[in-house]
Amino acid sequence: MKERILAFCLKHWKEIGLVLLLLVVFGKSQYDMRNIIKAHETSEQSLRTQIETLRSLHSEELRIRDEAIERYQRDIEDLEERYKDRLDEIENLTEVEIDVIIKEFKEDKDLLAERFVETYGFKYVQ
Amino acid sequence: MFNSILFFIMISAAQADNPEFTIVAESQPAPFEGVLLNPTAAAEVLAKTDELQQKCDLEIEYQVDLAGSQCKLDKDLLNARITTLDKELLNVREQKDLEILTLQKIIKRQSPQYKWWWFAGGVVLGGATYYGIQQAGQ
Repeated sequence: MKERILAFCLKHWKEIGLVLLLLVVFGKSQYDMRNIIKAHETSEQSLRTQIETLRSLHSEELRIRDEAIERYQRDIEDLEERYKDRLDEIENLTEVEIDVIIKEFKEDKDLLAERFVETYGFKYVQ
Repeated sequence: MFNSILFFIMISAAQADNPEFTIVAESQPAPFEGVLLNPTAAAEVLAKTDELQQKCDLEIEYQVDLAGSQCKLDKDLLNARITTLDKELLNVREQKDLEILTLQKIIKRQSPQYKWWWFAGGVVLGGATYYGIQQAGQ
């Protein structure tokens, strides 16, 4: 049996060599292919992780931004409210002051004259 | 009694450089030509000066506060952007480093530093095959 195998191998050694060579080339190309696929998977995984992180960072930024805008709107509302209140207060004070001045005028004319001089710097002619 | 007194303000046309005023009683002749105001109008003229000044101060304060709020908002938005960009940069760099490391490992397996081993292996295998065939042939 062994002799027959040996004789076969001797007779067809070129074909056997060729098959072995093809097997080696096939194995090597498979190995290279696996490495290329692995490199591709690594890049893909890296990009996926980057995209996920960018997404979460983006939502975090949007959250912070919304909060800042909300704070700004609250601040503006408070400012406007304070502004209107102060305006009303000033107008009310003016009304009170007008009443005071009229009362002063009834009691003491000179006081009003002094006010005019102080406010506008006009000369008071007796 | 005072109710009947009218307040008279006169800005003399002849003495335009020196504004003057006086107070006259009802039916009393005016010492100069001018504009006559009753007490309410005079009080309003006086009080409005203060009111306008206060309104002006309030407007300035309001506008400054508005600008401050806008500035704070801009600052907050920019800070958020900067923080995000910093984190993005850090993340991209980290991922790229990892990727490079993994790719380097893959390349290293096929690196030229193994080529002499492959060459030696081929020579040995070829020689052995040739020797084997020769021995078998005898």
